[in-house]
Amino acid sequence: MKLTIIKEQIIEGLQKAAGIIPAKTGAAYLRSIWIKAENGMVSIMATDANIEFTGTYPATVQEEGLVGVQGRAFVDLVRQLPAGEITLTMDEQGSSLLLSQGRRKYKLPVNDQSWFMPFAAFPAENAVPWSADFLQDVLDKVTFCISDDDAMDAIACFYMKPCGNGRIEACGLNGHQFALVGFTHDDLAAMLPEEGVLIQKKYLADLKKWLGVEDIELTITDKRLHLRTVSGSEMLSLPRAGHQYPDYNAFLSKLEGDIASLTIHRKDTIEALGRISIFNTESDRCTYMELSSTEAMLSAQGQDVGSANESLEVRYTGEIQRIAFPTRNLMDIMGHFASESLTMLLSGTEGPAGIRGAADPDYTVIIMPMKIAENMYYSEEDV
Amino acid sequence: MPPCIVHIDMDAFYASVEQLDNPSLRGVPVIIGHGARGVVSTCSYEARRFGVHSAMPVAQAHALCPQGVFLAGRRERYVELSAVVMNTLREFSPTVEPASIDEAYLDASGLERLFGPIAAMAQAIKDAVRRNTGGLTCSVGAAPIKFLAKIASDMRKPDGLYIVQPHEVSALLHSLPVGRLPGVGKHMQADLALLRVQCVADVLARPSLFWEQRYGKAGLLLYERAQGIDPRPVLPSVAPKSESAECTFAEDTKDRAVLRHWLYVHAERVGASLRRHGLRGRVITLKIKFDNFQQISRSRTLPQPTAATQSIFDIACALLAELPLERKVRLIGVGLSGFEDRPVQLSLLGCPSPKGLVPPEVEEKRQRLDATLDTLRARFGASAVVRGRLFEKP
Repeated sequence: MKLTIIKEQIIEGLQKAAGIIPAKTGAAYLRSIWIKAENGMVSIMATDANIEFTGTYPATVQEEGLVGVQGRAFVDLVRQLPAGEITLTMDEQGSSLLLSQGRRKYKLPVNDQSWFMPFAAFPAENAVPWSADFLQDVLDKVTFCISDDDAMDAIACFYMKPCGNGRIEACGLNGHQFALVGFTHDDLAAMLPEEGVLIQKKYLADLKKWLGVEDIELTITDKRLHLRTVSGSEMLSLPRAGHQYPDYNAFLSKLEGDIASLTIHRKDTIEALGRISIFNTESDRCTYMELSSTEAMLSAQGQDVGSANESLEVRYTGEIQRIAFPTRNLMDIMGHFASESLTMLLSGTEGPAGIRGAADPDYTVIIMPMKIAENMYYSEEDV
Repeated sequence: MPPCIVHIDMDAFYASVEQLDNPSLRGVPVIIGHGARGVVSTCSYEARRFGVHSAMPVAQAHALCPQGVFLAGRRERYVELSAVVMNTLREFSPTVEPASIDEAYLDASGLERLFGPIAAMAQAIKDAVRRNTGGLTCSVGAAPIKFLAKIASDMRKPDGLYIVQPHEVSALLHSLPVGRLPGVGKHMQADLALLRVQCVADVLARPSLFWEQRYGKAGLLLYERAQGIDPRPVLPSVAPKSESAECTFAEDTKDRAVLRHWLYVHAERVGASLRRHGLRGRVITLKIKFDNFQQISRSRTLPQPTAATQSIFDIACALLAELPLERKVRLIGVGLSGFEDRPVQLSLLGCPSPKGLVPPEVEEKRQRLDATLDTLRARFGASAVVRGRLFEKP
């Protein structure tokens, strides 16, 4: 194998590939980045045994071939080389890859070609186009609510399902918080299986890193979600998870009807919560809210740090007088909205609270309040 | 005005209670601890003359003092008299910190105008304890520093009284064996011996930096204590930190069915005790002592607190299942801690946690069952109702 590449054309793809290979693994196969030269192009391939990435870039190929190199070392080296042409040549014994650039020469050990396992091809038929920006936005709005704990099965997954008339719901849940984004995409809705698609949260960071400015095509098979840039230069495929997603309408429906409604100024509230959070402690991380029709009195108290009280101008209707939320989580949620003012729909002191904003259509985040009183009472019963 | 802290330590408490309640035991070596494989909780001063002491295997105590009277102990009676002692102390100062069932600290700062000089007050405390308990004696120590007060109460046991005046602190401290300082355990003491540090004065011969570099935070603390610095105040009514139950087997065993049976017994006892006090804990600990006396503990922290017998048992069983039992087990116990009443975020789904928390509705059912059983036992006695799985021992 012999080829010449331009560093600037390949470095971004190499870095994406390096991001996918596991940092620590005993399997040399998984530590490898595979380089394939054919038809005047070079393909860079990397996998962690679950995610597969392939990037294809222009190259001057003098001799076609396939080779696996120690991924991180190879990418670190290319990254530190000056811009310009880089020549990759397989030595005659087939045991090393020679990398040269001007007067610089490096020799990298290679993996046997027989170790290579073909990557899943992009199933181009039925692929639907999608905006990379929009997908990035959807992921941003829901990922923070997904559980980080893999053992939580479905609620450690990003979930997307069709809900009729070309509408799609994408959501994330961690047992205490839930984020839902609704949007319309006729083709995607038609492609999505009725039961929806689940992708484990641990793969979403790689997906977000991979998404660039170029729009994408997406297709779904029984086992995987396949994505490709519209130019076809890069492909990413992720495994689908096979769990049963909880019926989120059960708690979403609690936000309907005549329930308490608190309208707040988003920026002012985030700033107030930031100050309040200074008074939170490990044992009490919540902000207490005393509610009246025009005022919300926020407070927190920490044993060693003192206490905080802030009054916010609000519009409030409802019976609930006191409720508490985890301060940081509430700030995090509000930070994902763009609306100037937000409405919190409070279903009860111990029921789900939904947050919505006028400038964030089709976006709802639900947060559960803190249970404040923990007292247990046992009474004598006639038995 | 320098602070004045009083430490009150009941003399051989359990054994003294037995001698108090049963006059025929007076003057006789009484040892609380039974079963060939049990451990001595405490013993009377008559038994101590034979070399018996607490934490000694009962078998060894038998060998040393075959004529001793070995008793199982009556914890309820001890708790009852402990309450009498603590209430007596509260007649002298509102700031009483029970340190255990038979000892307490009392802040006597500024009480001279009420009770006279500290020596008179300490004697009045001793007299009141003896009077209110029907004859139990205690040893009292007083000092401007908390840990010195404890050391002082031990100076003239039993029925002793020792006052460390502020001007005596330095001299007393310097001559103390270093092992008497709080925080200096067996290992540190052995290490200090290598440095030829025998008494507290030897600690002060080196700078604090030396101790910090050698022992980290513990080194700094050692240096502070050696200087007589102990900023810990007397804290009234310290909340309980943990509740546990354990047993030593008559015969060592590797039979997991037997171990699970006893885990259930312990979970029941711990759960009932916590529920009685309105407490719930988040940290469940399994304690195991093997036949070679190696002791291990494994803990799991729950996202939400519990006091339900079944929940405590389930987690303890899970911890046991994760343990390879390469040796036979001599002792098994279950503990629950983490009682702080911190607010918790409610669950949106009531989803089970991966770490063993059951859905809220299941936990609620367990609590209802426990409450019913507790009520029945309170009315008809502890053995009025027994869980089916405890009917037969495996």
